[in-house]
Amino acid sequence: MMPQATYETGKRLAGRNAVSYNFAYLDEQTKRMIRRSILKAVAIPGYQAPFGGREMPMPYGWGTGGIQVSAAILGREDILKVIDQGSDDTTNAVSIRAFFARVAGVRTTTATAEADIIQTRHRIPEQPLREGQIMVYQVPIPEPLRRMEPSETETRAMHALEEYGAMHVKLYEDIARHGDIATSFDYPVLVNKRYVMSPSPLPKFDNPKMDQCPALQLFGAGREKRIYAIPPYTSVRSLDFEDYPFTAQHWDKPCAICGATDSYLDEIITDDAGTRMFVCSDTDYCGRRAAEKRSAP
Amino acid sequence: MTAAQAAERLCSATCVARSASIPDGTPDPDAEPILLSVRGVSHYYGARLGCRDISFELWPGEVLGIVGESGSGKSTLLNLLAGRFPSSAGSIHYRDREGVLHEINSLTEAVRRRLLRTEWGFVHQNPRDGLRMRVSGGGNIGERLMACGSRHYGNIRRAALDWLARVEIAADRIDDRPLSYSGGMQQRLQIARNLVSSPRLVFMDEPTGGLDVSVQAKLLDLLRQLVRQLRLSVVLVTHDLAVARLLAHRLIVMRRGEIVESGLSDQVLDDPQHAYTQLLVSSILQG
Amino acid sequence: MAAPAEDAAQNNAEVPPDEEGDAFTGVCPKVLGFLEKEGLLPPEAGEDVFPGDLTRQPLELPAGRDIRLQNLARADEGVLLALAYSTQRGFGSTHPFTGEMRMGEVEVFFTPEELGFPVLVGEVTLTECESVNQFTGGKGRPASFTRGYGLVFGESERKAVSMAIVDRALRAGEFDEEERGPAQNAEFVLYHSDNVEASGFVQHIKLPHYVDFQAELALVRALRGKSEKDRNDAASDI
Repeated sequence: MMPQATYETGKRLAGRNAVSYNFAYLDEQTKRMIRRSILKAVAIPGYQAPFGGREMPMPYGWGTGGIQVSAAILGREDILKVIDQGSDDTTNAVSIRAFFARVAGVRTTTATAEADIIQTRHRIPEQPLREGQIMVYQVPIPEPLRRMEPSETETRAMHALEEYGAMHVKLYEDIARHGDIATSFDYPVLVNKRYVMSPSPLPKFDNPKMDQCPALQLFGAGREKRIYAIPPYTSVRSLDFEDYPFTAQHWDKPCAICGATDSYLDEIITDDAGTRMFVCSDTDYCGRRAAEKRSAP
Repeated sequence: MTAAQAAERLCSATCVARSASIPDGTPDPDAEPILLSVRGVSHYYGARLGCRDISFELWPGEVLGIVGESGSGKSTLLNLLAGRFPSSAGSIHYRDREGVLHEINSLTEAVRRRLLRTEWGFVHQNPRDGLRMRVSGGGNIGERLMACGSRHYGNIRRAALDWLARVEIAADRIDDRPLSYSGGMQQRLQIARNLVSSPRLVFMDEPTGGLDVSVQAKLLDLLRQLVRQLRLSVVLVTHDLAVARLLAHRLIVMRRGEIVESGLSDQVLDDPQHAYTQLLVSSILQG
Repeated sequence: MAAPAEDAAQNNAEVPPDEEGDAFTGVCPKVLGFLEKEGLLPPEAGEDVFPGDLTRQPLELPAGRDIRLQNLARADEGVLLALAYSTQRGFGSTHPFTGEMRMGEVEVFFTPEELGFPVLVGEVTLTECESVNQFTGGKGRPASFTRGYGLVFGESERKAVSMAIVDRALRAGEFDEEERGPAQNAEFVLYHSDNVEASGFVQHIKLPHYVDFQAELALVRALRGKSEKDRNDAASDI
């Protein structure tokens, strides 16, 4: 399958510039170090493995963790997709895609189905992932217990001893105060019935996609220097109460562009009077559906 | 067996024979199982003595008071019993619900924390040390239930309301944070937070210490009731002999890190044998 | 304390300039060395202690002084300045005297892992400050001064002094001092002083967050709807 995307651009840039970099920017020793942390993370699903994060040519908080994970796993034949907010053309996504096209010369794509590696900030694509694909999440705050317990030393002990009462206290307080669990993104999950994990700031709409996912999911936090993982086909449960079960967001109306009723919608203000339309946040999904609709008889 | 009977039994000669089987982990099957067995426990902070050669047993349903002036080693002993740090010498055995014997000094942190949230309670003198001040009263009570796997909001809420009532805190304060509670209410909330998961053994460190006299009396009354209803075993550290007389079946009097006298509370307080105990008791009577 | 330094300067003046014309080639003794010899200042850890490397290993707590100093050397000048100032105003008291303040050039070598040998990449200017702080001792230990250390990039006496003060503040535990201010809390200082981390994370707020905001928007609307319904229900009950 020939990717539609910017292979030529990548090759041209690579030919011009990549000689000054090692493949995928990082030196091989660093990549090995990161791979060791990834292996550890995969072996203990949901556990935050520390790694010797390097400074990358972009600011912390802009995906330095995700970019290091991608750099460590990227192969020359891999096809890379990068999204931010579900979109391929937001600034962070464009920059990171261009970065790897330049320093690794790899092919890039916007098509979810043809990507081997998908680096993401804040969304999981709507199209179901398949075996062999790898999701790489950019993570700002890897510690789900941080809001209840500020000390790193104590949160590590709590994870080690599976002491998660405090995590449910947070949910209890939400219901007591607001009548419902008032967490809409970065909604904590229990991985493989053992570790409580932050799914990165995904809207909780995406949480169910992580459960029993055929793809490998890797999470990189550059500033906090942690890597964690969900291996394929692993149980991922969103924390909740029996009488206040987890629910994902849903919309009353379909996407104004493609008509999808199963996707995460963004609210867009279209004029000065505050008129709104709701459209898919996943631009690839939406574009494909719209094109199919147009070409349908 | 009632607590009073248990206390009585302590004084009988047979207890000595029974407790002798504890340290090697093969108890006499006919014996009422001892909850906590302390053998020759000593602790030093560097060269300074914390406590020396402490031995006693605690039976189910029994309240043991440890009295003495500040600096007598009673708080050190309490912390040793709860496994907060290991003793320099001696052994402390605790028998859990399943009858498994644990040596406190060699507990793993995981087992110690499990015991702390399932079988034990710890009531601090300052409620701030035992409460989450930024979590509502209901959340404070519910935490141990959730830590033990309770996942039904309605049930947790009911248990919290039930316990607020039992410690005489109005139901409409359930969603308020303890910061807005009075000192006495905070202490009662701390007790509720500890007792909600039905612990078997509760450690109390001067539980009425920071309170006004009138508030103290009410709290003591409440504690006495709860201990009896729930058949709790309690190790109570206090410098206040009046508190000890009201709550404890049996007393240990400590001075300079050592036990100078022990026995049934009334016996010790009405007919003190050791000169130091006599001094303690007379100072109370004069006051 | 100025006297030995002047002596050294006079001695240096007698050293003939070398062929490149450098005025000074001798080793300048450190001022605090004199206090050390007198036993008034405990010596620093010897050179046999091999320091960790913060650029290769993630920060883990509790952090040794080697790691703390590396962190502070990389810290934001404004952060160090404010923290140092806070200790002077009473949030942790470490009144310092300047033991030594000096500036110089050092060569920087870098070993690319693929090559395996060091490459000289250039020279950088460093400013160093050693502070002498309030004494400790008692209970059988003889009284002695304590010290803080600052070593920073470029010509920046202000940052070097600030770093020395904060380094000393972070040693509170070592000297049995009560922790009274944020500058004495290692977790607080070390995790928040790296300006590359702080600047990036604060400014990432400029990136789009509309997906998460949409989630919050929907949630707040739902919660408001719910509480309005509750109010209406309550009103109709009356």
